[in-house]
Amino acid sequence: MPIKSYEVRFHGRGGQGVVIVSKIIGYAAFLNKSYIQCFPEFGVERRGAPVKAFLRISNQQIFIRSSIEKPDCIVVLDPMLLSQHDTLAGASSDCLLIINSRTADLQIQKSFNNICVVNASDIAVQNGLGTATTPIVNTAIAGAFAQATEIIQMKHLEKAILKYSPAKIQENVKAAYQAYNTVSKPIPLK
Amino acid sequence: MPRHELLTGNEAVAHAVAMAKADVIGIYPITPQTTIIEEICNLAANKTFSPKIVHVESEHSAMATIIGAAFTGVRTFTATSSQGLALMHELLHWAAGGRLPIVLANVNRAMAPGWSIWTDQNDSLSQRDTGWMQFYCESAQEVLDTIFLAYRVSEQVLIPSMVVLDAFVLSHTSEPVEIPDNETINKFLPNFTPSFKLDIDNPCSFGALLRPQFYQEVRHKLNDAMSEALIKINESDKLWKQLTGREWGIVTEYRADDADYLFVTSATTASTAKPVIDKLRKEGLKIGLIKIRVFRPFPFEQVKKYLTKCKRAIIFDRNISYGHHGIFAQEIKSALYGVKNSPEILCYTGGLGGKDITPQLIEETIIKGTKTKLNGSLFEWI
Amino acid sequence: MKNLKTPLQQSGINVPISGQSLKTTAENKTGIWRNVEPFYLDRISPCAQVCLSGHDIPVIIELVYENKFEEALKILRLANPLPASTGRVCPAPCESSCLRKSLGGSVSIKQIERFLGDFAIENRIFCLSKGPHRGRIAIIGAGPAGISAAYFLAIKGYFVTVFEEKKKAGGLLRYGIPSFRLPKRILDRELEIVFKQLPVEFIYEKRITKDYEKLLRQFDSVIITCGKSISQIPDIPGAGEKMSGLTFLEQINNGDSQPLSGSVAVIGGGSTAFDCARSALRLGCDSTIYYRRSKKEMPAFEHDITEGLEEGIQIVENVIPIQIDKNGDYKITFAKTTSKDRKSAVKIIPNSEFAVTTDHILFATGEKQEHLFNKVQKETGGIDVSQTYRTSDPKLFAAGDVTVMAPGTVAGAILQGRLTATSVHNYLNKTTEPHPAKIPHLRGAKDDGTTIEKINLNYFQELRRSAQKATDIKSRLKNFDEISSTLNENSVAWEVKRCFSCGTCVYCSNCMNYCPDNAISFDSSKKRFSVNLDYCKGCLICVKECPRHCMGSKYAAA
Repeated sequence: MPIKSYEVRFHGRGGQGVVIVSKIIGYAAFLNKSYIQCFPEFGVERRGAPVKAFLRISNQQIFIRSSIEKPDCIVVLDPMLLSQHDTLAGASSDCLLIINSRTADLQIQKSFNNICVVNASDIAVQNGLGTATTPIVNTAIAGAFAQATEIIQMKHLEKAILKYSPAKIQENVKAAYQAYNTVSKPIPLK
Repeated sequence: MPRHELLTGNEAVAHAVAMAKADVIGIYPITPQTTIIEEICNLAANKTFSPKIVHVESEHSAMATIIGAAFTGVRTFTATSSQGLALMHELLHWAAGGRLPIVLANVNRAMAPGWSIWTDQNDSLSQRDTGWMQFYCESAQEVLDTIFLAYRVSEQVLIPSMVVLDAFVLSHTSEPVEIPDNETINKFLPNFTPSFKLDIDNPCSFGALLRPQFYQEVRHKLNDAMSEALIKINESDKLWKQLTGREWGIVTEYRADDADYLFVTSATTASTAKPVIDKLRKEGLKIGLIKIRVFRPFPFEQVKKYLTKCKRAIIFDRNISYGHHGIFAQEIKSALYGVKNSPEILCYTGGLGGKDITPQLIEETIIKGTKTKLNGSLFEWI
Repeated sequence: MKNLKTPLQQSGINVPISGQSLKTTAENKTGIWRNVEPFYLDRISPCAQVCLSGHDIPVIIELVYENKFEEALKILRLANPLPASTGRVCPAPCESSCLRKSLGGSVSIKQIERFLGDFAIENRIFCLSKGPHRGRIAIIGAGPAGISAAYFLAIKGYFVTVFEEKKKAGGLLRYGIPSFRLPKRILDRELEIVFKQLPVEFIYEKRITKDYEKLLRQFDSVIITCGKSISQIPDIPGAGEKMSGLTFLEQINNGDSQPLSGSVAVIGGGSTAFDCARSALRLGCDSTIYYRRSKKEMPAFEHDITEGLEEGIQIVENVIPIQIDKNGDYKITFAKTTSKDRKSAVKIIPNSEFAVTTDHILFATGEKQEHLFNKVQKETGGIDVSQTYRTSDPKLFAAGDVTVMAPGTVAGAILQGRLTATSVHNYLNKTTEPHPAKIPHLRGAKDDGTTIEKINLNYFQELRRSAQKATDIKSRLKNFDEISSTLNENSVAWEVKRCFSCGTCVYCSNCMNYCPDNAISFDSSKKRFSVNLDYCKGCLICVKECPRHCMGSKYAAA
């Protein structure tokens, strides 16, 4: 359990379920009796365009209501976004990166100590979530988040998926577990 | 038993309106308010409550619709933002002049042009003199609680209420909210028994001509009712504390008792300011926070009570009266005019059109406020 | 909290919480602001004003509009027992004066009457006597005036005996008007439903002339309605009784006609001239009408002329016969004339004579009355009667074309029959019932005049008059069948919808809806609007917005 507010920033693209995954993880934390605050990037959301969402998790009431500029964790639903300048903005070298990618061989490995790569796209497709061209990766990412951070528990994540998934609930839960079991805790490289 | 849910500020509005069992709701969409009426429609569709929802063609009509409904003595609601509120302007006077206990949620959004969907307070503050009560909220919980309070006080003093919440920062942010049980709400908010209403068995006209002899008398009464409202808000707040353990006050203070400096602000800015106050206190600065929650009726006594104890008040407005300065600052100054032990006053305006108000920004403002050498009044942009 | 009171409240005055009245606004009697005030006045419509029988036309139309055909018929019969007949032969001045004329054509009032008449026949809606039987009346002549008088007396309860010299009743309707205008079958059936259940006895083939004085002793009262039955043949060389147009028509109507060939010359310009010419066409002749004045001065009704020309009649204007020679066929010598109008005498143009050869000649130059009733009849011309159709003998009355007040139309004769019936009734009962030429308007309409300027045309759109179905010309000439058919119910509904109801309130509620003071109310039991003068400010919006001139205004009474 974090002592102070744990701040997460999600990056994805419109239609990938970026806002929903922030809510799913937030709700799972809420069920674990944490204070949470989650909000979308304030603005206009368009399919395919880069989208951000924010999540604060704390064991105390959260008062700060500004957007997250120095996140403790960055979740990237689409590796294409790593090339965007603001995706990793404000991240210290200790910031946890959870990245959906088919390859673990990423350029950024040199600058960050804690990187968790999950092949959420393939997991999603294997579970019939979305298509090969547009996989719905958010629940797999949530499973990876649970494994990497240990802030949320899988039983709560399951309930959260139940609450926020519009369809294919069992497939989504399965994808979350598959990701949870696939990824390992990030090992500091340095 | 109360239950806990993750709600956005807008969802909190909708749930409170449903629990208050509003009878007639006029709806017209505008970002960032729209999710309020969407959630109200969801709640009505799943039979959480059974309002008459009237789809109209403009905000003007939405307000006109519920004014008509309110004259028949039923509980009414609508929600809007920014240009929508501005379009309602004429009818806001009708609602207040008609002494109708309407509750409206306004999600603060900057006025166009330039086109903006993000928050600042100029839309609601432009309606300052329409005769409505205005409550500025900092959290989804406060939003939920204030809707109940607004109905209760409005129906006691027959003045409409505007519950105001910041766009996105509050309206679209999910956070845990404690939802009271229905029994609690029934205790706090009994059924409305109007003292007058449209009644075919006792016909009389509403909104009729008032000759000079009477017009000012009626306005005098409305103003008196505003004073009475402060008392009712206070009473209701105490009752709410008994029932739920929560109170929001008229003016909320945070570490203000022994403060040399007071950071005075409203809405979510006050929320973000709290950890900043804690940090600066830790660093040895005797700083406190005052949040003006009830803007109309204006809490002269409470403002005087807190501000006469400090040396310097640093007022942060998320609004601007062009040609002057922040509007809360004007009001606070007028409350302190001629008052003994009035503090020095510094007026800052920032965060317009959704410009992010971060803890760093607040800290810088406070530091600046404490260090500035003052010669008369000061106004600066942040 | 201190007790908040405004200054007025402190001085004991009740101040409302808002801009609302403390009591109902009915407290405020705005009627005293009034300078002028509206009133309701139903006005006799232009059509009813000119109706030859005095029908209350808008009321009849209103009832038809409500699909109350039987009730409409009842109103119709207040003035006229023979709507199926007059609905076919009336010149319909009502339609000429109809204010709808400029917005799609006048309402087909005559066709509505015909529809109702046929409705009565088809549904066998008999006329019934209302009163106790209380006197015996003799009527001489079963023409339109006699039938009308008999009907109006019989429904009052009188026993009526009608003496008719011919084999059947109807007079001009039967013997003077060809079947293609009024089929005998219609007339027979109409007379049947009128008289079958009334205390009226017809004695046929009984010619009463000088022996009418005997009837005066046998009956409580006698009415002479024998019309003019003899063609007036001009006194020119070669002309004779056997050239009588009336006799020609009577033969055809009796079924005694023979096919004709060659050409016929009809002298005259009235309806009879056209009936003769059109009948001759149907018997196989070419018909030419010779008239001493111009075509536009012809006394024939417009539709006679139009239909006659359609069928192929030739018209020669401004000619007058001066001599007829018979030499196998006829040679008629005409002189040309000039004419100014119908009243002044024609002038013969000297040396303008020309001759026309023809196979047949028919004179339709008017009818005359035999000198039969010497005591009451003028030496030449009709029976002298007062305005109430009384002769110098108090028991003896006369009506129709036999009198000096000869109406000249069937509908006019029916009106005189009705008025005479009232006179007889007044005489026998020593009462003074009025003699209204117009059926008293059901809602007491005044003869105040309604013109197109008084109608609020904003409320009416142009609606085309429905066309009446007629047989094509070629088929028409093959027989004496009726050439036009009765409008169907849909067309009648359309026609009544087109009616402005000039001067007649149809409860459109405009007055009530527009009243800014809510001062107008409607009593649905009395079917009447009224103005509450306690609140009427005299704005007269009601009067302005009345579409059909049923309201008026006057200075407010102090």
